[in-house]
Amino acid sequence: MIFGVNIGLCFVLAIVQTTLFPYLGITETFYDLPTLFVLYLGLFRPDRESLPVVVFLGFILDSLSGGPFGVYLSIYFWLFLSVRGSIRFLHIGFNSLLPVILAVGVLLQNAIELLVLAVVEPGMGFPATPPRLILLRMAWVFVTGPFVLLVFRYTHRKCDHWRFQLFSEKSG
Amino acid sequence: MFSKKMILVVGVILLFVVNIVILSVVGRSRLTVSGPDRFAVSMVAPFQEVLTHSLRFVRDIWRSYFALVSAAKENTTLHLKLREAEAWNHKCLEVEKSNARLRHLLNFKPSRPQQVLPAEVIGIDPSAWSKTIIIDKGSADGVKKGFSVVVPEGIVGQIISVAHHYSKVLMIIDPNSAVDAMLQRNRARGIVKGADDGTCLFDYALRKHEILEGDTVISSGLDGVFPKGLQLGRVTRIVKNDAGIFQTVTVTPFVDFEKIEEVLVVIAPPEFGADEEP
Repeated sequence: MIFGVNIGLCFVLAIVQTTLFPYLGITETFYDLPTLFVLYLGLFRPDRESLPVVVFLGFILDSLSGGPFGVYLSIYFWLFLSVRGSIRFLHIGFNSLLPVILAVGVLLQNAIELLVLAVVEPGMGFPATPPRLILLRMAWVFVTGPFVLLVFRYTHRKCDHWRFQLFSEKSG
Repeated sequence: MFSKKMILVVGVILLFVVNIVILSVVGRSRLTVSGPDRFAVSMVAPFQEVLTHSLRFVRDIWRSYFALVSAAKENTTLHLKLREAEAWNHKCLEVEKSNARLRHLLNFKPSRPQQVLPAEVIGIDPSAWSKTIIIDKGSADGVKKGFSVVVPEGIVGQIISVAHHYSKVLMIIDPNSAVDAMLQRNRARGIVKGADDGTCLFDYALRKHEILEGDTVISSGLDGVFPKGLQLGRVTRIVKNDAGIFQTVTVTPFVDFEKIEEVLVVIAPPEFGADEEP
């Protein structure tokens, strides 16, 4: 059930990113919304549940993009691993540190993107995203990121609650 | 013998190397489209279509009912422009007729008839490093890989991937796009390629050709993809280096790629030579 909810969220995020954002003209200035979901999964959800979703999300975005296949997959995968590695040392919850962590996450995503593009498109101009835009995206995620994360958390909590109810009814 | 931590580090390094190798291989065959890719587009595109239509519906209501004041002003201006355009159209018709007569006299073959298929843009590439769009026409509508996509302002790009009801279009501003082109004024030839900043470069333009800012660049039709004579853009910057046989020419496209909503797919006749799907 939780996997189905995550797949649904992946679709929604991909559609918002490729249809709504271009329509509003904020594709460049606003941060990559699926990145926030990857950060959320890395910070708050277990590996077994998160890893297939991260791979699926990368696959969907790669399919919608005209770029080389595997770029998004690699970016999200390494971002997820980095977050997973860092929470061994940092204890992060829904607290005042969260906006900073998310901003650093967006910075990390852009850094990984640059590395991946350097491998795939060596002739491409440097950098793929100007620093001014990266700063703007960090500012956006600093302000709005925690609220979006609350939506993810609410969805998962509802799902966990239904799952618990379902198992309770079955077991008697 | 080995600690758990060391195995983990080696594993991550190994994974990193494998990832780089795979990306390097995939990067070379950039435009190859696989079955799962098409499946994913077919899954997402219907929702993109619904959202696009909903957004346009809301925008149309806004424009229709709340922007009537500006529409009235615009209407007056457009009426004037229409009159001018009608006069210009009349002149063009005369030129077309005389052109047909002259072609007949010279026994020229008529230009290839072009059939176009209107399509709506339903999705835009999520990445910053690639410039593609998704349209709502696919193989079921007769669209094939390699067909050119245009708007009245000029060339948009070409079809690079086709699903049953949807297609992906590589725009001319993508660094991997190339169009055989020439200057309208003096027929100097070159290749229009996408630059990283949303403009294009008119490559392989010989230094001996006199190119001026403001010159219009059109398709030459020699690449077998884009019909001849379609507008591409305007020359905005010329750099003539001291050495070398070419000059660096920047072209600003006529098409506003940020605001494309509808496009026309040029359905080519069979002998046009579009690639079949693999």
